[in-house]
Amino acid sequence: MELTERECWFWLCSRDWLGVRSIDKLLGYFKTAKNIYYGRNSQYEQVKGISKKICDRLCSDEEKDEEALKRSIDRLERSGGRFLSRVDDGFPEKLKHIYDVPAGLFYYGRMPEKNQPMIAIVGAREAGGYGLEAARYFGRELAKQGIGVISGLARGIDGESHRGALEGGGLTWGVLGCGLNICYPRENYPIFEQMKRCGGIISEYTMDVPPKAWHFPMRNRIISGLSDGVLVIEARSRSGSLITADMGLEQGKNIYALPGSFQSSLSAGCHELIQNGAKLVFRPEDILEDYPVNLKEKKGFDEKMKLTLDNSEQLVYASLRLNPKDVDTISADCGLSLKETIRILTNLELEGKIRSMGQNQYVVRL
Amino acid sequence: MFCKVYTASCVGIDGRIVQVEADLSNGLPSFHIVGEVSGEVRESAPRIYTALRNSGYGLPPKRYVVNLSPADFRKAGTGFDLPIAVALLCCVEQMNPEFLENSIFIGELGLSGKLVPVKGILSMVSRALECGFKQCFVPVDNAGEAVLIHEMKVYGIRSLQEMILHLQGRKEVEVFRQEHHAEESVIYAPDFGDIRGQEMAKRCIQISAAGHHHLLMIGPPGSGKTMMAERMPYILPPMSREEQLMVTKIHSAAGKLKPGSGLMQSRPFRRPHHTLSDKGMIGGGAIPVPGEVSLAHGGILFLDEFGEFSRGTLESLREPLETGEVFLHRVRGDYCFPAHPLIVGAMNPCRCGYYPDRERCRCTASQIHSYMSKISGPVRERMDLCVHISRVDYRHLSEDTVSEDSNCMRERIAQAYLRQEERFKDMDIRYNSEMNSGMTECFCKLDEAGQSFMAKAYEHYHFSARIYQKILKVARTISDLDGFDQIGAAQLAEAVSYRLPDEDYGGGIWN
Repeated sequence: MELTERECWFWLCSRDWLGVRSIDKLLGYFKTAKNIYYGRNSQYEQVKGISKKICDRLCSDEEKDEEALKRSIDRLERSGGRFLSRVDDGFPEKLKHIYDVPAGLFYYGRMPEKNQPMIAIVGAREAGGYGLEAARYFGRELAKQGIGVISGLARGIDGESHRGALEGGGLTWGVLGCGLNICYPRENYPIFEQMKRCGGIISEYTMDVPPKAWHFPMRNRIISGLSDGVLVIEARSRSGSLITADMGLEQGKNIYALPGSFQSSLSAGCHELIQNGAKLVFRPEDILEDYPVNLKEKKGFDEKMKLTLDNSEQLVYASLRLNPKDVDTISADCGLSLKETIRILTNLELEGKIRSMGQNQYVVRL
Repeated sequence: MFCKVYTASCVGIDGRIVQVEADLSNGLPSFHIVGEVSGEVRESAPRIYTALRNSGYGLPPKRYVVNLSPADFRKAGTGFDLPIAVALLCCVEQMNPEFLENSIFIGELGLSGKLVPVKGILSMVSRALECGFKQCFVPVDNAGEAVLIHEMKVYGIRSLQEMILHLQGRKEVEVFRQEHHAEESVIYAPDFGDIRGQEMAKRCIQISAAGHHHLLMIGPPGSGKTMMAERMPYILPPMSREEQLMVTKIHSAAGKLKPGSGLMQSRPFRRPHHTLSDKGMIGGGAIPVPGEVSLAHGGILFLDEFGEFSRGTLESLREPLETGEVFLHRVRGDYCFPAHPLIVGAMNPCRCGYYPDRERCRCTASQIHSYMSKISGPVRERMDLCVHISRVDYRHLSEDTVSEDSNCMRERIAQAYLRQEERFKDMDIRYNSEMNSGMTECFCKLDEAGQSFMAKAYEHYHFSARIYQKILKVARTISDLDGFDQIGAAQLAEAVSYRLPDEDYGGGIWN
């Protein structure tokens, strides 16, 4: 039995050796995915810019195993995943206008609604306490106001912004640089599962495709493409996050940057962005004002500090910042004995007001 | 003519009495030593022969047979020269002084007839005393060690000639007396007063010393980890005489005692290089000699660059940390060395050494994680305390404030020792860290505040039952140190903050 057009699209998108550009060239010649699937070797060779190697693979029987194709479609569906080709209804409108439109997307959960405002939060994987806390804070506050948070489900800023959004009870989407069923890095597995329900997981790659270095810049164009604005938190100069911001700029998105200390090399990339015209963001409202969301009642972080803390707890809490500070310094700054300081710090940590970073180093939680 | 004298040999760290029998007969001149002897003992024949001649005593050309018995264990070591020489002399001279029966002869000979010190004297002499011997003849350099066994009459012999004269009864050697030089008096001991800042680390070190909790220090290069570890032996209370004897015995058996030195009074501090093998750590050899973990018995075993030690070496610490002894099995028998040091490990927080200072450290989370996981779970479980040592900032370095010196610390720790002694007087343990779960339950009762604190912490940090127990033990020690009978929430909070880095160290998971 002949394959349907949709199955042919699935086949086309699940060839991980076939890039978007090659697919575009093939489509330019054959017009439909079905034609590509049933194309002859002589036809493939006529397509400009398609290498001999790809031609050989395109017409090999091994690649055109219909049983295997049906099996993998079935497997995706049974795992709760779905597939959208670029010609399908429901394929995000925003992505249709970017450079290198993905041929198809595999996803868990659901795709963002058409008029859902989306902010991408990107930044360093090896971020400092400042960036991690900020990512979580902004993720949470934006999600609370109904803005979708999109990021890359990586370590550091990415993971924290997803966590923040989930904490805020909002929607969040993660775009992977590997197969849909692979959670990389492993420690994000809990949020990976949660995000299937509160938002979605999106990937250009089919099941089982391992994460490769060149997948990640490609994935970044989807992150920026799906968003309306890109917020950069803690990016070193010439880092991958700046590439995402550049892509966002090309795609006509708003670029936001969170400043850091002028000494901080971790925030140098953000500062460069601000110099080049990105909007400086120091509170969630700076982003919210650009989108049609109704501001819900919101607690500023100053209010949150009025907690039920006793005097010395207030003192210790107030001396902490987003940069890790060790216990000796805290006790010297607060004029408290070491034992007392340790006791207060442990209590504050148990209360969830602060967190330790490394051994005996503390930062506040926003 | 046949003659018999006694000597001793050191096997592992235990002495064994050996009989030396010599016989001479007519026949072709020859010299045989028999009785399961090792190479170095067999080689002693020409040495003894020459030494005797150079001491003015030529052996007549006869047929000599020397037997070392019991013949069922291998006699190694160099201490057999003197007894063999004495046995031969007595044979040739046909004399049999009465004191041979209750005397022990130990010593190596040089070709000139001079006596050379040997290893393991203390073990041999104490064994001899147990077997009923009354006096011993040892090289004069070893005499200081031999007199540690007070009941033994010790003769320090300088040369074979002196020995011959004594045997012939022509000139008696005087009984050796220990002149009272200030034994290893500590002229300059490194003091904690020299260290500025680092209050948390100092506190943690005191807790570690007070309750014998093994300690892991994590910190960037140059932050003073080594400096602090070097000062630890001096804040521990002095050793009892039994401990001193045991420590001296181990060092003597390993040949680590300086010639002429007596009892070791300061606690040992061992600092092996991280390329140490497992044999070097627990002891090795056909007849095992004590390794680093035994040499540090009663003192500090400082493992700098803890993560760089080979896996095998660290894993070999598991049994000694559990039982306080090292068992080694060899074809010719099993050996047991005491091994109960306080282990202090020091390592960098990550490969570059600067985490969590993200300005300088660019290690990825997985790199940090893999660096930390160089210490295997079982070894990590045996460490009770962990402290992070940060770089000292200039303010602290330049401050004039005097920090607490080692004397204050030692007094406080001695108090904690007393409390533990009182607590465990009917039990076979000495320190809080050795408590089993039953004892922990009995001695670490929590009040209501403490219980509710622990309940919260248990959930928040995802403790395992083992970590929970460790925290209770550490809190017990902290209370002892501060002079409280009851463990309060403050002590528990402090104990919690000294726990070892868990899975999410390195910024991986932040929940």
